[in-house]
Amino acid sequence: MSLENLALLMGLFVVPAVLLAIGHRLRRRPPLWRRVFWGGVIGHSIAILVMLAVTMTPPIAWEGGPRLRDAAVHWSLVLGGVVGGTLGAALPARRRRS
Amino acid sequence: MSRLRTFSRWTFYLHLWLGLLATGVILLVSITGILLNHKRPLGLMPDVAHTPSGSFESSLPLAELARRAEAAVGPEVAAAGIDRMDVRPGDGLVKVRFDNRTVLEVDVDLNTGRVLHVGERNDVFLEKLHSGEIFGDGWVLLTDACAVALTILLLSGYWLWLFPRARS
Repeated sequence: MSLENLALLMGLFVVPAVLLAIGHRLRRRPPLWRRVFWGGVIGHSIAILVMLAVTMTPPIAWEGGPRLRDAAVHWSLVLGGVVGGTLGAALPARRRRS
Repeated sequence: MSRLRTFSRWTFYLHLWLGLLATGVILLVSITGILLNHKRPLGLMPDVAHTPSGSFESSLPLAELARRAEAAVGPEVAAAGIDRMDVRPGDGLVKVRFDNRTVLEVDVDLNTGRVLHVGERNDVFLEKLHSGEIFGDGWVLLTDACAVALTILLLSGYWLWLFPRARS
């Protein structure tokens, strides 16, 4: 199996599984954990939309075509989750209203 | 804990996990399915209206029709080879599909050899994407797994909707 296909499988199944594991009993987790979770969810959701759009516009095979499109199809899901989670962790914590 | 309660808890977690894991593939299969259902109005495949210009018996040989189609697309596409030739005696034409990246198709008159239309068969790519074949032969199992997951999601969803209090 090629690295591209492995990345696609990871983005499709491993990233959502990790997010689900992090999201278990989210309210009891520390704030950093929660920011990583929501960052990952938002990043992965945006990546699904990007991947679907890139895959089908135009509806022709991407292999042998522009390399950027090929990379976007295979890597966007895994990168979306990781980048979203990292951004969520990097953002400053919000103060709770008392 | 009663058996019913245990079963309902398992059903809830199965629904949750499967739903999240299968989201991407189900979305892909759903969108490509909708596009394939409306491939003609969306212009994803060439649809040439044509009446036969002669009898089927007086059609040109297949090799000659293929040569005319190759001449219409140019040497670069012709070098990719012909994937298939779909003869339509009722319409008096043959659809010559090339095996290139954009899947070009040439419609040629069976009797005169005149090129009627040259266009991309975008539905071929969408069909391969729909089945998972685009990633390789073994990837059809991914869409099989997605179909099984969707069936389980339907059944578990109905169970959770019909008996919402069973797991608490």
